[in-house]
Amino acid sequence: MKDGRVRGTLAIAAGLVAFAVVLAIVDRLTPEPKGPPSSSYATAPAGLAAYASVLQRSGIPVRRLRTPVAKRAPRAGETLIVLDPDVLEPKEAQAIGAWVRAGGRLVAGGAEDASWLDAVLDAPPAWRPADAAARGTLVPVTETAGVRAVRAGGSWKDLGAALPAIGPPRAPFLVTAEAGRGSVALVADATPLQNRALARGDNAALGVALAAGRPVAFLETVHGYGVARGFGGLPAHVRWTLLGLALTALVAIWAVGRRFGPPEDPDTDPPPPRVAYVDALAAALARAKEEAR
Amino acid sequence: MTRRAAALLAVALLLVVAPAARAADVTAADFRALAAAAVDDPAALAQLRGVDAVDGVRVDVDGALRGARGDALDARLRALAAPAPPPSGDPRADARAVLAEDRFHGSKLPGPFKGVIGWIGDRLPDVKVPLDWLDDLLPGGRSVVWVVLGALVLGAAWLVARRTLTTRVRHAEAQARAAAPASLDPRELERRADAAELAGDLEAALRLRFRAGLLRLDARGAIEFRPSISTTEVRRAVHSEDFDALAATFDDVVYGGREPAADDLDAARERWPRVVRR
Repeated sequence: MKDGRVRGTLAIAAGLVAFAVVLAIVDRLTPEPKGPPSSSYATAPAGLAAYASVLQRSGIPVRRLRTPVAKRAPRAGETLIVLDPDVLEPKEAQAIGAWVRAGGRLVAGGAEDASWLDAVLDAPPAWRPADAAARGTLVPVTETAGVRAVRAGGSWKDLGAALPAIGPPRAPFLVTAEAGRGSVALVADATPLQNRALARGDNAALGVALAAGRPVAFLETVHGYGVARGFGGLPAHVRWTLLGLALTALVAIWAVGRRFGPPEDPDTDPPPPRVAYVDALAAALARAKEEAR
Repeated sequence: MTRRAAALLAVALLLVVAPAARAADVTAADFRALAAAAVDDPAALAQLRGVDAVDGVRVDVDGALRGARGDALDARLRALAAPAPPPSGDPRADARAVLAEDRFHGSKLPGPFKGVIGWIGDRLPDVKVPLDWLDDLLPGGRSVVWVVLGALVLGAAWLVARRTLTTRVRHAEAQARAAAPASLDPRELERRADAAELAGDLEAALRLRFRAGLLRLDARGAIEFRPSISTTEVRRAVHSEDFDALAATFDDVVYGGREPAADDLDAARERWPRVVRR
């Protein structure tokens, strides 16, 4: 009796430990914030997913471009955002430049030199590293509406015709420039727009102001996203649903399927046909009549 | 034309009211008018450079224009003269609400076992390492890894279930064999039936007598006995009203759950010999 109680207690304890281990493993495997820096898909601290959502909350339509601009240009009247691109081919940079000069609006920049801007502006300012510091608004323009100061690193030099909008004046964080019939806003650091800092100070206001009230298109090809086709093109929740349905179908097929067991013994031989019985009886009667005669 | 006239008037008023060298706080509309005029008017440009607040917000126009001359300066002035929409909404509050969503924080363990589970989780090896290794090994994305792992789990579950079921089936067969009569001798079975009847276990007596009868039919070649043979098969083979009655009683008691009566056993004693002799 005592032995049984000990066993039961041990079994319960083992079950609880196993349950906790499973929970811990599930916790380890559950999705964590992820994504490449300055991608509007990324929920990681350096992503822009929150920025995209804030724009939508402000009534600004947002879409992600997974096709190169060289193949399909953004829509007229959109603000194209290209921040911290991994790589930008010359052909793509030229396509962006052509689209901007035709009247498009570009928000670009990031934490590295943006030499691809040569294809967009005649004399683009040069990017220089700078320590993160509070940067005050210099002038009231569209890009600084509602923004008094932001904390960011990086700076622009050799401004030329570009107007420094957020300072300091000699090494500004944000500049604006004309390009043909279009306009460009260059940020020297995308940190204020990233998830980790968007809710601080006037950073979210800066993000909304940069859109200039236009629909926004994030160029995601520069972060490694392309056009997904086939099964991979479906949203994750649809893929999991289809997988679950497939498993359910397999279980259903298995459940209703015929089970093949060992062969059964054949039934006992059936009795002889009734006609044989009738024939035999008739023969017996015939013989009996012959004997009677 | 009217807007241009208004802008010029505003600039003129500003030039009259405020000395060029003095700091000034202007409205946004006056600021843009001043910037538009500054492209062609050095006095307006000087006035513009002196502005240090717009609608009460501090600015540094002089700093923003510093170093620019000619076309570059004109371009900057045009940018300053462009209309700017007033800010709307509360983007910071929106950002806080968005960033409070789970997708930016991952999952947190709930419940009273949070500490225990966290403690165990800290001691578990990093499961992402084998996952990454599999990801590198298998073609396709991470979803392929999950599909393969799912298939492995299903296979393991099938193996375990099959092994468990096989063990249980073998155990049940062994129990059945132990419970089955050791002898297939009809006389031995009839003796055990009599003993069971005397002990009051009428159902066991009925079962044993029925099996003895079937064995006798087998011995006569009327049927080919096996433990799973059905009464229907025997009925088709022997074509006997006596057997039909015995089979009906047997099915009622064994499968129908009817309590056997002494008459049932009397009938069995009386009818089985007729069935076998036939």
